[in-house]
Amino acid sequence: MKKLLKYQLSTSWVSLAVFAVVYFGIMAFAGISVSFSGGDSYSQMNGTEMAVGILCFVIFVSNYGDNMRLAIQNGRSRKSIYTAALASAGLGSMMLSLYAQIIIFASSLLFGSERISYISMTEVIYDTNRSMVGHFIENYIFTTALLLVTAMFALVLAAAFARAGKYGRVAIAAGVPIALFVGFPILSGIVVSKAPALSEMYIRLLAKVTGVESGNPYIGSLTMIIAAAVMALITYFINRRAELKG
Amino acid sequence: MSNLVIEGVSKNYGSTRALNNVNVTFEAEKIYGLLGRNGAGKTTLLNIINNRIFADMGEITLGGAKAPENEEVQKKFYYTSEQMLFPKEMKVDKAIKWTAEFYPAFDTDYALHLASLFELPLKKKINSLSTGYKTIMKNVLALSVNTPYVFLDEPVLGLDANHREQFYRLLIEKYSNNPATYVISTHLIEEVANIIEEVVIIKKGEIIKQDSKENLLSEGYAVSGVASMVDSYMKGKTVIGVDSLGGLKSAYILGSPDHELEMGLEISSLDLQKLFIQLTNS
Repeated sequence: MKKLLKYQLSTSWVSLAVFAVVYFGIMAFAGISVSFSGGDSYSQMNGTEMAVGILCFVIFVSNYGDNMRLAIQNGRSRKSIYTAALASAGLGSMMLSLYAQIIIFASSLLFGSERISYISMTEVIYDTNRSMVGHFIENYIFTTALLLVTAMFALVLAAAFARAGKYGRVAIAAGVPIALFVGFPILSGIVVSKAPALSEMYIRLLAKVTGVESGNPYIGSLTMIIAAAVMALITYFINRRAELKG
Repeated sequence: MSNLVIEGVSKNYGSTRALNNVNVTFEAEKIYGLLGRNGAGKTTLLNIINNRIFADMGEITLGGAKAPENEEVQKKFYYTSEQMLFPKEMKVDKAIKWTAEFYPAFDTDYALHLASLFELPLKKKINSLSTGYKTIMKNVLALSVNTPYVFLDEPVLGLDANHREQFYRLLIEKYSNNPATYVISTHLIEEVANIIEEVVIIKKGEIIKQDSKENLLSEGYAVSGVASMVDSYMKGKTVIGVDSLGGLKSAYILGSPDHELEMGLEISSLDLQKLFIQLTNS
């Protein structure tokens, strides 16, 4: 398992380095532009965690198949592949989360001013106002949980894709984005107009489990960790009998 | 090292039965030829042994331990198939490095020596190698990995005559210095006939022969001559095949030749390819 984990982490560092350079460059450019522009313009820079989340998703979804093939070539079992993928998702989330905090902190330190502020996701969602250390811990845990659930979603999709046949792959590739970005909004629209009570109940539940209602990001973090565990379980069942495709 | 035992293995792809109740044993430190026509089930069998796909029925054990999903067993196997499982963007030297990471007995110096012998470009991406060089890369890894069982599926695919010769020579050299079980699946039977000790013939998903090459070839003989004379000689004998060319004929017969032969008839031993063709023709 250690060798597999080492291999999986080694394949991601180039993506991380490229991302860091590009993202930091954008943050710097935006910060400098606002600072030097005239007038009373004020800007908030946020979304670092989401950008890192997308990076995390891409890394896990694109590497899974390659990792599995290399592991099987080298006599590793599906159980090891699965365990290494979980360890890699856990470790990767913690590292990427730290990485996001460093980018926000460095950007704030270098380019932050009265006219530009770099704010974190928990500040945006929960409007928290804690000490610097408290805020760092809170945002770090929340981002880690967010990245973990993203990584696990990527693993479920990648494992299903690796296991599926020709038609199954087409169904996953087309079906998941359609379900998420077309089906779900349409369904929401229908529910809101036809069953407002149900819709309200759903929104209240969502506000509760995400911790928005109580302004507590730790509740949101816990919900995401539980969701990640459920996806890990689904991945296990998909992965355990996955055969290599020609 | 224990024997690898395959018992009652079957595998279906939809309605197609790829393997049907396969029973075969690979003994330690022998070179096997796994022979069969296209689609006979050779690769399916190797894929099942090496945990790439699962059998629908049956068992594969090494020294009593089940092979599927058992890393302790799978670490004793190394399999090079036509299917390339290394990431396409990986460079050759990285493939060597990572194989060495996973297999502690891997001999990196020997692998680099072989790579230089075959002029394998270490800094090239696997994706950009020609078919022949991809095969060479896989063979370099297989010869350096030092596992007790090595499975080679079409190990000379795309290789020119010089490289094929070199590979066979190195394989024998490796086997002499560091005996292991080599299972070679190939269509070039004539070329491997001098290397293999044991023959496993698979036909339409079933093992139809498993024996030592000597035993197999001593099961019969070939008689050649004028067609009418061969025809009369064949009467009452178990003929497994016949080749005709003009007025001449060769018959492949099971059993021992008659002590007294009619003038004009010539007896020769069976060759493996001929025997294979006759056994798998129908």
